[in-house]
Amino acid sequence: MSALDPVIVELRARDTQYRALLEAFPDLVFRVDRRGTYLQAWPEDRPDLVVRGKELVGRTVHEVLPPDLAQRLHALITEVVDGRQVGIVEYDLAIRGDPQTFEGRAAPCGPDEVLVIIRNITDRKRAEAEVRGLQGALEERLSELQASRARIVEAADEERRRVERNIHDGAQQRLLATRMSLKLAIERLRRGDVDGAREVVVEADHQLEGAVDELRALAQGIHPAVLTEEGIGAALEVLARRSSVPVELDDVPDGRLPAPVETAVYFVVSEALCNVTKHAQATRAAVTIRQVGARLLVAIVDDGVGGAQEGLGTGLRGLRDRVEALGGELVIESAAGGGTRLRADIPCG
Amino acid sequence: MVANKGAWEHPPVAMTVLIVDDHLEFRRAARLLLEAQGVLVVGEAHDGAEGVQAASDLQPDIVLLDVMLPDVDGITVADQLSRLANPPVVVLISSRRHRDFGPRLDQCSARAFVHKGDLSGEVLASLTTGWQS
Repeated sequence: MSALDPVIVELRARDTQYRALLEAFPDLVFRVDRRGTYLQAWPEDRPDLVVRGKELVGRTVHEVLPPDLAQRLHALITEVVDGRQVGIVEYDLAIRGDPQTFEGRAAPCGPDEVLVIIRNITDRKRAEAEVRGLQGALEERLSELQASRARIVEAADEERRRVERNIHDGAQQRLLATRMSLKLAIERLRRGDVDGAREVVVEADHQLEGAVDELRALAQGIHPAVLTEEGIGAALEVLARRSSVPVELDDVPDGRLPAPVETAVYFVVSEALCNVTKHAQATRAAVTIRQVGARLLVAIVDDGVGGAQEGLGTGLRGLRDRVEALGGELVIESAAGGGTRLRADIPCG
Repeated sequence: MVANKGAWEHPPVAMTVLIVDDHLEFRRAARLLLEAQGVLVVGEAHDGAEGVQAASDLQPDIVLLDVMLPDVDGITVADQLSRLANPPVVVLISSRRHRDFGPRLDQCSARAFVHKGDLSGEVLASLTTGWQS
């Protein structure tokens, strides 16, 4: 046994270990010289290799890869050989028609040659693109939410202004007029004019009746008492009875639903019927409410002129915000001449 | 009570009033009450533009001017009235309280502010001079 035998045994063992390491490596590893010639390749075969590893050896990058890419890789190899520093390149390459993305790292390895490690990063790139897409969608959704939140606040403010104006212009003026009438009655009594005073008191009574009616109507507009006390079914019957266009009610739920759902359904139907009366020139309308599992499907259909557009007023936009705030959806179909169909799908589980 | 008769001679002359307010029911009730209390309501107007025109035509002693009018606010109208050749005494009126308005109300050229519910011939007389209440 020569003195070199243990060294040879050791070298063989190391060679086996390195080969095993390279075979087990998920990346492609090449030794390439300054001219771009493949000197060695691992593994010998893999589905994402353009050419089998053992067929690569002896060929140049220009013979194996598309010209643009070969040029880029060759430039990188030259740069690394000369600069003695690690260089990185990222490129797309179709493998048997399937577009893939690779990242190549080249490190100096002996005189005039480099070790190139190619990693397939297609899955990472796809995942990154997916995350970017999701992030974009999320940002879009967030800005929609912020806009709808601003609109909900604005709608609430506008509603308060409307209530203040209505009270000021309606009941308050009638009550003031009543007060002046009573003062006039006192004035007439002071002068002994009993008949004149009676006349004014009768008028004051009418003015008070008017004020009470106005307040009742206003309270009804803010939140209808029938909805609170008897639920959506009774409230919708009241809406249908009040509508000047005949309304057919189908499948209205008997039991109570969560209060926010009842309120949303009431205002969707109320606004829709109001639009039917004001704009649709319809001869009839139908309201259908169906509970399917944990969802409530509401539809208001008319046979009018159609052409309803969400942008034209704040009404439909306000309804959409109200329904979406409950996690629901509102769809308006209103082709010109084809009537209007407004559908809301609201979770009620 | 007679205060500062000046050029006025007996019998006392009723003060003349123009009511500028967009609420018909209020104008009607105010006219009836004031007239029962010896005030002569010479006209009514429902907005600022009509009010300035009527004040110019009718030359009332007092203009009762609602602070909130449909076309232009009463404070602006008060300033317009103060520039008329023979400006009337302007009394701003409202169903809101004085404290509900900002400082513009105090800085305008109106003589006084009266809550609509407190309006009477006597109150108007106390705000002006030269008439018998």
